[in-house]
Amino acid sequence: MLTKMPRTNHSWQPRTKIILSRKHDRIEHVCQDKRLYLPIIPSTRQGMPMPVEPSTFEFLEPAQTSDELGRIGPYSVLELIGEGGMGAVFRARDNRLKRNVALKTMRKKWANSAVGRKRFVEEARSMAAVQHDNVATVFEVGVHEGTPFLAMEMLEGKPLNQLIKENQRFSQDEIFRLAMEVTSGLAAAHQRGIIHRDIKPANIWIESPSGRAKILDFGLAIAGGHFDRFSHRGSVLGSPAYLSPEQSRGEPLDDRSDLYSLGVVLYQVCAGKPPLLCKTVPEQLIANICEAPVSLQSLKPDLPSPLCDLIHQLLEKEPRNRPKTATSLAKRILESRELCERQSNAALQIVTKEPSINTESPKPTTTTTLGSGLEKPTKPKKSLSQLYVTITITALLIFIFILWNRSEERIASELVKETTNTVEPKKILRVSPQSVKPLTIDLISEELSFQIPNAAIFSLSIKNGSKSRKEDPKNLFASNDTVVQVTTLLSPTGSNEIIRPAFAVKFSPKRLPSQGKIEKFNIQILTNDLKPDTYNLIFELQTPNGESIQRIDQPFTLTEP
Amino acid sequence: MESLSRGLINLSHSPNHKARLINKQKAFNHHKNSKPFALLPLDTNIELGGLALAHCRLTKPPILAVLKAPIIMNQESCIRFNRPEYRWDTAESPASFVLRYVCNLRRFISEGLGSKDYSNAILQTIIQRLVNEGYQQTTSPRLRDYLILSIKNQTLSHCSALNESEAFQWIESELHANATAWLRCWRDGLLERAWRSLERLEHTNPNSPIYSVFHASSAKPSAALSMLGVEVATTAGLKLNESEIRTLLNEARIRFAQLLADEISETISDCSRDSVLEEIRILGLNRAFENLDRTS
Repeated sequence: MLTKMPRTNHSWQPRTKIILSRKHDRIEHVCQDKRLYLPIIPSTRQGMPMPVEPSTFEFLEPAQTSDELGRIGPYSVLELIGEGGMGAVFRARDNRLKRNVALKTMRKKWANSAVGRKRFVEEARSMAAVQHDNVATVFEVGVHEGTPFLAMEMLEGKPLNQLIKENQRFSQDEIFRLAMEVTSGLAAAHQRGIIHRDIKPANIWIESPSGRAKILDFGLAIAGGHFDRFSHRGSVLGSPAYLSPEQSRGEPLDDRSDLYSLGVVLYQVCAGKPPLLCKTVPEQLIANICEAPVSLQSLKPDLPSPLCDLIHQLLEKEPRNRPKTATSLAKRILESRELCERQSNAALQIVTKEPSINTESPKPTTTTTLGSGLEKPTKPKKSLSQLYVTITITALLIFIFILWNRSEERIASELVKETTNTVEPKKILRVSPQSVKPLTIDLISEELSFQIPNAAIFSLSIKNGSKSRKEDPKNLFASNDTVVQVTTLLSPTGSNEIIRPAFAVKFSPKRLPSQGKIEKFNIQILTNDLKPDTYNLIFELQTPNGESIQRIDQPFTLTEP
Repeated sequence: MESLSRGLINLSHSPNHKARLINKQKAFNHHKNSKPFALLPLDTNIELGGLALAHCRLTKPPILAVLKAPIIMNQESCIRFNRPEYRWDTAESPASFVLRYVCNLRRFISEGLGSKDYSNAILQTIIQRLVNEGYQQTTSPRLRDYLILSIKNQTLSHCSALNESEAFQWIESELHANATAWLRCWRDGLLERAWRSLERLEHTNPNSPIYSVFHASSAKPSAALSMLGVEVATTAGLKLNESEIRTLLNEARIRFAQLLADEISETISDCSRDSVLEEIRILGLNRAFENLDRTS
């Protein structure tokens, strides 16, 4: 669609859009019966057209110059760039504005069908409604002598499926960029109430040379409601491997269905194949609904875990477990990216840290990043005496080790051996509000008014009021990572809005005060993004599962500097 | 006049139900001191996809017309999916109708045969057959009857590959319409669908967190309204006072019951009031409809 197809001659892969419907009495591969949709059959720009079926473009008006195939209204049709059952896509020139466009046309046969025409117009409406950098722009939709057409921006580059097929490797940054751009495009569509329903690599165009991603083909998009007016109730529409579980069940869809499909795309970009790929359509649908995808980290251990977690969150079977909206997904992508960068920086610091035995002169490290322009460090030359000393010490150490290893009183090594052979899983006990009742928090800050750019810092205390070891949470949950947490919520007075201005403060058994003792701790709230107002500040002592144990409500004022 | 103080629940999509929606304030005043509704105070709780699903006893005696307390009603809280023509046996897409419950069916067969592979093979054949041939003029009165029969037939046809004696034993003990495990599987499927629909409603209207409130209340039936408020603040990011929570809880309860009733009526051929109530009784879902008026 709207596309310059790549120059390479590749085999045609049908877009299997399916309709599970009694009326049709079979699972239809639309590309076979040419029903309703427009699968794009790439042709080479220089070579022969794809041998699918002879194309007769009877709807074209005669050519007026030698370089054109014909005309449609104000457009000079220059070249066929894709063809399908429902119609074709041409490179064309808008003679009024003197610009090249991708012109999508519909075959007369389908143009005569009311449903076909309506879907075509609906696609144009959906795309035109979304004006965004990451969505292909529609210039015009119209009908010329009974042939509906859609003029869109002409893009340079390749569709994502083509890049995947060519085994292009995507760097972590490229994956994050792709995720972010498609998410931005989807957010723009979702804000207008449009659900794409067919997000897949073939519908994501990677522009060259910018590398920007653009969403194409709103042919299945629905606007303003959850039901598709043009298909049968409960029909399953889409490309099987990219269908969300709710789409596979034929349920009403919301924006989170597109987020699932994006998850499949990102998984495929990382792993080279979609998470669930089956031979038959029923098998695929059952897998989409019931089967959990193989862990991405196990397939690609070199991928950073925040990225894998993000993709797996998109692939959650229940929509409620995915990010709520594309906008919240965008935030999540940024967070994951930051986390990856931090992890990578931390790893780099560990690798590049000096052993620091020799304090005389810092030596260059042996790790460099690709393209960093740093010269390879030279190994320091050791003097002969230094070499003798090193050899003697090493030999001595080996000798001591052999002697020690033969010793019968080698208790420590036995213990180590035993513990490595019988590693027991750590026992994590469920913390109930009742079991940590002896723990209480108190607000000790007196100042409850702050000026805006400054951080507001509150002093609190946690008391362990347990009277015996048996009821001491510090002892009861000694093997847990977290025993309790303090969550901070902020709400402008008179509003229902709830802000979480700080991370929860978690108390491990080690951090908890001992029996009868009190510990102080601080909670800091960044006020940069807050408006001057009076807020209701809530500190809540919770179990690690978020069950409430105790709550402190405190009014708090934020003033202009 | 008794119905004036009751909430109404439409079990078989009566078109005149609106006439019986009444006196919200009166109902509210009467009900505002009542405890939050706990969905199906439970014998067991299981975790399915992170969602605590409520189970009640299958043997529980039916409560068909006991209406103890009034509930709040308003125009929005009584949903009518008026689609009596959209039943399982007249669905345009029988395969996708069955796909709604495929996860539960798969779990049921896997547990019975001890193999996910056979479970997948059996379900694939059923789905493929539905796509190709539809229900083939079935005489089954309910979708669950049709499905248990299909599972039985498919299991028999796979018997040569299975451990025959174990398969036959399973067929004998569990593969009939009123077997406990089968009814549990079916009920789980219906409940999951109703929860999912309720969550979708919340997603389309985030300022009315009916799913979050109802889910929190079902997971912790004894929780006070203030605790539910904190829970909702954490999950949905909205601060609600106790009165708002109570109102939402009532609305959620009615919506959930209506969704469940719709779901049930779609899976039986005769979706009259009595048939729907009978199915509710058999599946042990009475508690979801307690204290609600069951209109025809």
